[in-house]
Amino acid sequence: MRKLILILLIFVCKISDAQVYQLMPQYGYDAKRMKFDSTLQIPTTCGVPTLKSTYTKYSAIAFDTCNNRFYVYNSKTLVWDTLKGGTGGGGTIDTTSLSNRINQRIDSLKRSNDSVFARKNGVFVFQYKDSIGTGGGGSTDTTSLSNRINNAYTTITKLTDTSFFLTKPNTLKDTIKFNKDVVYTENPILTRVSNDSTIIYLNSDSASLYRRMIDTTNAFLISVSQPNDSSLTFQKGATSTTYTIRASIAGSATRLVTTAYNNTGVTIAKGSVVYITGRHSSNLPTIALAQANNEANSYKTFALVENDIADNNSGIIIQAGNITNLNLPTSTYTDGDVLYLSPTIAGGYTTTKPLAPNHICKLGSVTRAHPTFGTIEIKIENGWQLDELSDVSIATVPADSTLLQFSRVDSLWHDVSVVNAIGSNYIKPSDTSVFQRKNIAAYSFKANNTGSAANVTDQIFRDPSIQTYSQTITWTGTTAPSGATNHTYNWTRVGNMVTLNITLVYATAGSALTAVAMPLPTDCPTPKEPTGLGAASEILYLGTGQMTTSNTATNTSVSRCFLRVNSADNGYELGISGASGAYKNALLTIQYFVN
Amino acid sequence: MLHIRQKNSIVGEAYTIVQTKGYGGQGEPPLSEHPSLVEHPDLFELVDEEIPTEHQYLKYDG
Repeated sequence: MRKLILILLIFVCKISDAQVYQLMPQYGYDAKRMKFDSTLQIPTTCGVPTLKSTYTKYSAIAFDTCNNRFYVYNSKTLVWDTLKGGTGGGGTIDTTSLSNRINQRIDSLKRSNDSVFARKNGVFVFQYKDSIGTGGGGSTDTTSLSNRINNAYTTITKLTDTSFFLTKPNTLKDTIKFNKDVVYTENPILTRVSNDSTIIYLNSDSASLYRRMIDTTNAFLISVSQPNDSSLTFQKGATSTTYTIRASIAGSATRLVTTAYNNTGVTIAKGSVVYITGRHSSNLPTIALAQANNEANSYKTFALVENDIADNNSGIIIQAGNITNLNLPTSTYTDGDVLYLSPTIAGGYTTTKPLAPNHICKLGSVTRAHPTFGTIEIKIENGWQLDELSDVSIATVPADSTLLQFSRVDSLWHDVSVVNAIGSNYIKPSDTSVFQRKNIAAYSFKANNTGSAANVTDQIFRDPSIQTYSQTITWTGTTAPSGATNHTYNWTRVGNMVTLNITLVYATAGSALTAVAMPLPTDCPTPKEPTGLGAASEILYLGTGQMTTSNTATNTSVSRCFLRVNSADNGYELGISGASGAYKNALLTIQYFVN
Repeated sequence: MLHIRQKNSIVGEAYTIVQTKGYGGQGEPPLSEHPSLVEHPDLFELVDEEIPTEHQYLKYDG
């Protein structure tokens, strides 16, 4: 029975093994073109084969008998590709002949001393050198073998789904990273990475080395914009940061400006001069028009308004630098004019330097006088008050007639009264006797008429101008000189001494004259009569004088001149006596004392 | 007023009157006998006119 079952089983297996192979319809139309024997016979075509079925999930093969090419259909890429018969290869066509390929091979390696030489077609073409030395063929490779080993990439490590590293054994710095997200438009042949986000490309021409960085931390600057004159906005990733340029860091800035807020209730016009009044809720400084009519309106003068600033709006004000497009007509302004804060117009300016009690505040200079394109170079210099100077210490409102006096005790200037300023070493108002000396009596001078040092006393001094002598003259002789006359006298008194000069000039000479007498001029001081003299006709003083016959000749004879009491003893007269002559003039000078 | 004057002094500012002390008074010789008129009638004259404010005197001494 067992044999029977075995025989039956063997029979069944035989029957199974003998099943005829049935081609599946989706494998082609002509199953007869394929045969399985000692060789596999496949379908043939002329040119690129095409699938007859739309069922493409299986790969296929066919042979192009016209071009002697073997085609493979890739069911994944849905593309036919060739395997060329005769010259071998697959994919792209290899046009290199077999003989050339044979000639390109290195036919032997030979070690000599410290080098390994590569020989091709019997010629040394390359040398691998382990140390410094010489060798034949090709260029000399001076890199040691150990260094070359260290330069070799030893590991490949996947970093992310988009990148991996080629790692050298010695340092992390030599790690190489390829990032498939990078678009290699420059066709680099080598990419080195200095850190996770920096890729260094070495171009195929080996001449340009540059790097491309991937901004993984928003460290890269995308754009820079200028929202206003004094700010710059930098964008990194989605973040924008605005920086205000300050004068301290803007070394080449041409203007110094501030954004300010107008809450005055009215528009502040372009070019107006303003000062800072406080702070707005927007944290901008508030401004108002400056004016040089008092300290409060002028001492905080800050800037000029760049453009009209409407009420409850902000705008730029310029502290330093130029402001343009102003109305500065040439009829009023000249290039180079210095401008001052106006004492009469709020926010205005003037070319006239304000004087006290107005306040001086220099605004800058006109750099272009023009009715529409006027330009001012702003440099505001607020004037200083005396009490604002660092070396002046005075009261806010000094006393009237106060003087400014320097003290070496504290090296400061102080306000002091006149008396305190003078001190004890100089004449002061209380020294009345001193000041009285400058106002002395009429016809007097000051002198010390004592035998020792003493305060001066009044002394008489009088020096009238020359006058016409009109007193009655008495001549003694045959005839008196006559005709037109020119009689003058002049006298001076210094102290108690009088000097008198009388000149009588006639047109016609007299004859046989021996004397002439004339009263003492009425304005002359009364003579002091010497003791023992003073009676009628008594001579008191002698002088010098002559009667002359012409204006040019002197009298050679002796003449006597005197001052005496007149014959009536009620006055004084002067006289000249001498030899008889035809005189026409009489001249005398005499000094006498007075009481 | 009667007086003796120097003729050449009429014109000008030096009107000259001769002092006639001792003549013309009570019990004295008349002015016409004054030596100046007697000796020099060509130079002096007796007149009865107002004496100018500006004048001078001559003590006739022959």
